[in-house]
Amino acid sequence: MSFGEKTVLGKDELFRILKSISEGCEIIGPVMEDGKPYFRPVEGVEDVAWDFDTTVNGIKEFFFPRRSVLYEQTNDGIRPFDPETDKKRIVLFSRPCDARALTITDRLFMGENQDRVYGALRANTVVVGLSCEKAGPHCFCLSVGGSPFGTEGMDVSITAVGDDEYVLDMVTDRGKAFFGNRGRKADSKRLQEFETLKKRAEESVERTMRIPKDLPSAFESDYWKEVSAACLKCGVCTYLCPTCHCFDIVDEGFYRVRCWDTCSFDTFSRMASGEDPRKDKYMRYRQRVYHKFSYYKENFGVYGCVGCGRCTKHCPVKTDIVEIVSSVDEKGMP
Amino acid sequence: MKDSLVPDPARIEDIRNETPDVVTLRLVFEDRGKMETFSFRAGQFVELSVPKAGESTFCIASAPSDRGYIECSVKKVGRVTEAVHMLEPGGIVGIRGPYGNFFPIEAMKGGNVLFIGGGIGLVPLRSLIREVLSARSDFKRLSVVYGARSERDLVYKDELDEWRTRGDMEVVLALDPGGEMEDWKGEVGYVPSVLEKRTIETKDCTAVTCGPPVMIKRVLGVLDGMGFCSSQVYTTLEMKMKCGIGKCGRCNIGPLYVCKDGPVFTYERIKEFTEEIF
Repeated sequence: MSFGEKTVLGKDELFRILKSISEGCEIIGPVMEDGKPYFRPVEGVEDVAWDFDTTVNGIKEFFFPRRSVLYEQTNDGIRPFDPETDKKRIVLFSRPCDARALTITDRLFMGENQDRVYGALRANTVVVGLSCEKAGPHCFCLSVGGSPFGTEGMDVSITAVGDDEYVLDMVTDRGKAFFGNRGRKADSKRLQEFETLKKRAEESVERTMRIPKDLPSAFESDYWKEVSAACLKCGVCTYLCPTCHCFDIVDEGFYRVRCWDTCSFDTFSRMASGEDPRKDKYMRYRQRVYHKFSYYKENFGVYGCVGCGRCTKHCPVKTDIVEIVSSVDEKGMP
Repeated sequence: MKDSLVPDPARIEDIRNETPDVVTLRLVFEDRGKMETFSFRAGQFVELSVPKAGESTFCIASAPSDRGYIECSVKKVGRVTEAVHMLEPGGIVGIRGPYGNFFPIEAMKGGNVLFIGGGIGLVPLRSLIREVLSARSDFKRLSVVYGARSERDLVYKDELDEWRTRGDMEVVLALDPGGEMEDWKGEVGYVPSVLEKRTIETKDCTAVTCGPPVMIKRVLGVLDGMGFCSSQVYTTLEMKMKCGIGKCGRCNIGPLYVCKDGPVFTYERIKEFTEEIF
């Protein structure tokens, strides 16, 4: 069997394999809580959901924790805290968008001045992905370079192909080393079926974001005031976003802590002097849009968005980034 | 792996009062080897932290040619700086860095340099001025235009006197209107207006400015009017920062990160973003 070749196996067999390879690992997977799917640490493979809609949270927090103690400041000096990375971890059934988001935040955290916490958590974690058979109502992954059958950021990709059978695709050497040779070689019928399902899944993505070619030209437009007028500055869009990565560093007593932050808050860029180049709400909303669709692209070559639609789905006032970005050319040019 | 976010302890060797709300700390790394290898260029900054208060960004006020220590001047404006002002000689702070880019001193050699500062904005210029003076013969005419709200708000008073009396540089001091006492012998007026009244040869001259945002904005306009080409004009910008290494996501101006792409920018580079900055 050559590398990269797809294999097929039944659900029972796949379950047994997942059970055996995750032995001794911390397992993170989708579980239902109050009727909604979340990614959580779980006890065993049997706790993991196999069929679930877009989870409320992504898998970001397992690599870029909501809160990390960086070090303790003692009288004897500075004692760095090691991230909890002594145990191998396995993420089960990451959706393609969430796995792809890792490849986007990797560009920031793994580049120059690699982030110690993120780097350690990335290194000790195998990501097993699960293709989306059907897109959710808020999904627009195809517009930003993703796909319901995408494999970027995964070590292994799993796709349900009917008859309780699954196609396995070893995406990385690490995935292959972890899984070993499993299943039987996918025959042409199965491969054809795979392609048909992929096409069907891509066609199920109903939303499209049209990203303006010249976003910087719309910077001064009053459009940003209009589209952000209802924003509550709650930050939910940024916390649930798989690629939002802005953080704060604060002292909790003698512990120096790095925690999530958000450009939505009016303290985000306000300096001690009171000066704030983004003092108004619309400036901060515009910053979010530009960071994702202009600056990140310019600095890292990709959009800071995977099209999961969580920001739209969970916004208390229904701010819809797809509609807002798509309408810039029409309504947002000064 | 060394964590970029973990600082090195440094001991406060000396504290000088510059103004009622600005102190200058002279800092020496506890690790002697670290002190010897700590190398920076004028214009760069550090993240300075006080346990239980937090971490803030300060440019290095001393010059690379000042060996064996670094200095930071700290104005009391918020939580961290208030904690800094409570410290005494012998106290320990955390230092990360140096970060950011620097003034292109090599490119300034052989020409004139005009320094324009306002208030605490003289700090990064002081690092550069000291560096330039350590190789004085490499430069032609040196001029400093520096202003503050009142006489007591002028930082580095002894050094300003030294620069004024050394005979090979011009120093123009200005106080904001209403900030002067009867015996004030310098100029009265805001820095941009004081600058505007002077005749300056723009040929082979680099202008470097730092101060409050409103001052920088007006000074850039005045320099423009004097005929300075926007690539001859440098400024160093301040933005709220947390990490100092381009990751925490808040100090950007357009796609430029002040901590990584700056803090030193030519006017040419930031011209299109002036509405966003000031």
